Amino acid sequence: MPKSKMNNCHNYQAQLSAYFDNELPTWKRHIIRWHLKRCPNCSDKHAAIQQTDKLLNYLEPVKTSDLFLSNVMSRVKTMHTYENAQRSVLNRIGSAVENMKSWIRGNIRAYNPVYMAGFVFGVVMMVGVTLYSPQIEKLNPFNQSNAEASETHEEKLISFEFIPKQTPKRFLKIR
Amino acid sequence: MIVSDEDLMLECRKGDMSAFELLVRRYQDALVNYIYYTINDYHRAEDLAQETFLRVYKSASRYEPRASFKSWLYTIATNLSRNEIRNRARRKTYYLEDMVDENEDVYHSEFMVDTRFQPDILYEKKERQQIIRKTLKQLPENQRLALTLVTYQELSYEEISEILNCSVGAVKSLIHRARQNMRKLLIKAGIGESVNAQI
Repeated sequence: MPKSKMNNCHNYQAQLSAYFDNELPTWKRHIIRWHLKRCPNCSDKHAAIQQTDKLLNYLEPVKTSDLFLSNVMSRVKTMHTYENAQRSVLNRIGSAVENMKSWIRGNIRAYNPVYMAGFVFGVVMMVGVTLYSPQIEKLNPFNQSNAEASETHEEKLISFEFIPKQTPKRFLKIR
Repeated sequence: MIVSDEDLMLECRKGDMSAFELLVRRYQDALVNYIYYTINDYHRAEDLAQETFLRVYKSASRYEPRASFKSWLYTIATNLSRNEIRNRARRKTYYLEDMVDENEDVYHSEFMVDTRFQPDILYEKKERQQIIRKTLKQLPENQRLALTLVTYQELSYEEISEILNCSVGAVKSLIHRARQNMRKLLIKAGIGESVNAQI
């Protein structure tokens, strides 16, 4: 077979599956049909595709069990009730938050300067205590660690040496 | 008048269980068959088909009819099948269907049919089916999925491309190669010699 024809046939053969599945546009189908009538090689390949498909269709479809539908529906219903229960818990939390908000709106008058001052003082105190927590242990005189610390301080003071004033042994003679 | 899948799904989104039931009725056989041909285990195929429908129901509230319902359903089933195949490969699980040749028809109602008057024909048919099933199993994952979708589910290349998340051209070559390989394997297994040409 000449090389150009082989290439041509190769192109047609690549399209044969799509031709068989009716997935090509009409004009392409016509061209391939025309080629298949003339080329025994490609025609054989087309017949092979047909036969493979026939063999594949030998497999009979399995039947779904009778319980399949009822199983699916019961599982769906279980899921549905579970989701509803979950949703009701979320709804309850949501309504509690709403109630709290309305209570705050009704009972605390934010525009009152006394409330405002109290609120600001509270916030400042909380922030202050969080950032600069007081070191209560250091202020306690009965704390053991504090006493030890003071003793060591004294020892340090005592350990200073006192150097008495000494007279020089020789004097410089000035002529 | 036949209600479309998309309309049924929209009804389902509103909470209509009967619409969902109708969808399950429509697709249960096709879906179980598809998964069965993919993973080659009937009981697991039923489980996965159930799981597919549950996932559909779960995401019904978010469903928007942009793509076809069928493609969406098969995409979920394909993902579940792929996971199953990978899990099996990882765990090296062997199933009864893989180990015993003849027992697969235990699950089929046909098993109960009286075959005393034509045992040889039935036996030959069963044997051939067994060979085809085994051959199909030997194909690479993507080729098997594409070939199953086009042959048994009769989906278009465009729908398959949506399901397998690839281009239509890729689907075309996948199916072509799948048929080539299938042909070779069938000849090797002893059936399909009557036409000598290789695809």
